[in-house]
Amino acid sequence: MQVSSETFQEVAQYLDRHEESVRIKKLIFCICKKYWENDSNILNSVLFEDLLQELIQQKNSNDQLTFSIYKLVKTLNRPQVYASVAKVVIEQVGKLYQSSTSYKTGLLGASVSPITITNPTPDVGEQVEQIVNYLSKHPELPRIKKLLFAACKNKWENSLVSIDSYGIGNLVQELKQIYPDKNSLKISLEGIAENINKKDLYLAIASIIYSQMVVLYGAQVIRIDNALENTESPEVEIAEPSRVPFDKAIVALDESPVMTAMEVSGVTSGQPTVKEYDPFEIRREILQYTNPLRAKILLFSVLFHPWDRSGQDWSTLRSCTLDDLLEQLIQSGKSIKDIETQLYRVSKTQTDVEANLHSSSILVQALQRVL
Amino acid sequence: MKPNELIERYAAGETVFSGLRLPGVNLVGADLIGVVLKGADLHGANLLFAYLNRANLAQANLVEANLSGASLSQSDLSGADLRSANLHGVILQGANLRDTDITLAILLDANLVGADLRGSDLRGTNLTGACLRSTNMRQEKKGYNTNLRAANLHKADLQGSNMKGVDLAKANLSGANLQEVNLQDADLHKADLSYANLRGAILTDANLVGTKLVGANLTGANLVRAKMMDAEVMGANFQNAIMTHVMMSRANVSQSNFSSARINHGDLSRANLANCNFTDADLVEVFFARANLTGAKMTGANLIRSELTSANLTGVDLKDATMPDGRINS
Repeated sequence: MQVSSETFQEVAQYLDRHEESVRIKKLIFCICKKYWENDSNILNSVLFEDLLQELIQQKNSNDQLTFSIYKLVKTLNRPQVYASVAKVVIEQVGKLYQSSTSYKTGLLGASVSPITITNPTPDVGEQVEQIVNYLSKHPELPRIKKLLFAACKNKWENSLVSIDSYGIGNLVQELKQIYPDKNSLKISLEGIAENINKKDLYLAIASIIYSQMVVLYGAQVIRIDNALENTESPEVEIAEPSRVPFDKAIVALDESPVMTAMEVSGVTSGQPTVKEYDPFEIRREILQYTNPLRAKILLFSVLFHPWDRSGQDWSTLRSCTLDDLLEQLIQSGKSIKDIETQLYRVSKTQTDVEANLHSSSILVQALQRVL
Repeated sequence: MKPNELIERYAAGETVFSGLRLPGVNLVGADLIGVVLKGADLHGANLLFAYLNRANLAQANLVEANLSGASLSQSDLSGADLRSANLHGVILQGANLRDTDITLAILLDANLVGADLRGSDLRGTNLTGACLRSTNMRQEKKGYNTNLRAANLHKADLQGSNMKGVDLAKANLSGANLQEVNLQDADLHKADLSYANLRGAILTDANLVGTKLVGANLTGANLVRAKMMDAEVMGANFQNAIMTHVMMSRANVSQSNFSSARINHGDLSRANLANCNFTDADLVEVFFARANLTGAKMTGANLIRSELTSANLTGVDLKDATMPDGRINS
């Protein structure tokens, strides 16, 4: 469906005239600019149209938008109020996602992220959708996502939250673009699996992804719905859920939480690599040498806004665990250097500077093992 | 006494203030290390980030006090009243919490490593993300146990704790680390242990009736005589577990791994064991009456004298298994 710029204008105007337009703007602003703005002068100086363009550019599917908005709402002081605001935004902006990629390209020009450049024919789109449907229902979905991501981005990512912000559909399409033929795809997936700890398990995951992806390469177009019945094709056999995943799922459940560092070979990305870690161990290390609440306040200040000791800040802090904050920081893509600088800067603004500096150094030490 | 006076006298070297009455006092960040406030009334006090290491607060009234971020390591809080207190991120490492009433308190992300919690009442407390490694909750006599009924221990770290005889009925232990924990005789009925790590845990004679163990890791655990009737155990791992005389009737255990487990004399009647893996498991005299074993893998299992006559054996792989009559399948 083609959406004209008329629809875009309609959405912008609707949101602008909405009785909750201020909150709507704050929410979109925060997603686009990565910080919360309460100053009405600043908010008024930005046009809804510009914000919407930026929003679509950053969140290139309805799923990503929904995910990001609700993730943000959860951290806000009035999550209930903002949840209804979020609904309005998703409902309205969702209309824009129904448009074809060509519209977005036209609207956003060259600034569209590489993920959205793909301009699939309707058939391919349908196939991608089927693949996504199949993979989404697979019991090994988290590992499938991790391997897909590693193959696309050339780096290992443990946070499903980060991976989800790309969306499986986009990753599948991107993978198809990166690997022009199915053999190179197979080699790449298996190459990654060979180089990580749970090699056998990830080789099975690689086969699952490959067996689904082959349909995008033309030759073997197998309807996924019929795949379970078609036991003649070896590729389909691999993809059949009750065959591989059962044994492998047992291997998976057998894991000890003490995990060793894992990195995908050939990482070339400038982004910091996150090693697989045991959240219990990192937490124990922090608790052993510092005050858990102080650590949480420091992490909160680095992630959200400087701690102002307000009742709202306290209730937000109580709504998340040390684990959540650590994970969010680890997955934020910030380098250890940046984190260190920010932690020390925040430490100096809080009362009991010495205790805060000590906590910061413990946090940096613990994070260094992961980042 | 005014708060300032307490601080001044403490700074001057006085440490014993037993029985002091300072309800609602504001002592944020106060340094009162080693202070003796035995039996003191500090209910509703604000002790945020206070330093109370090695303090004696035995029998103190701390109802609804704010002890968030307070340092109470090695303190004595035995018999104290901490009902509905805010202990968010508190340090209670090595503290004495024997017979302490901590019901409905907030202990989110608290450090309770090595604390003595014998006989304490923690019903309905929020211990999400708390670290309780090597704590002592061991039941010493009948009717005297640590009570964690309906407590929230989601993702809590309890590795190596002694929780013998603890009441954990209806508690939320999902995603918790319970490796090598002693849960002998513990009451875990209707508790949620989904995706918990119970590797090497001792669960002998434990009550797991109606307990949720979806995706839990019970590798090498000891479940001798455990009562697991009506439990929800899909996709759990019992590899190498010792489960003799386990009672699992009507439990839903589908897709679980029992390879090399010892389940001799177990009662698995009416259990849903579809697609389970019993490779090389010891299943001597197991009662499988009306059990659903559809698609189960039983290669190399020992089924001598097991009751399989009314079990659903559709698609069961019995290669090399020793059958109830002693015959070995080829």
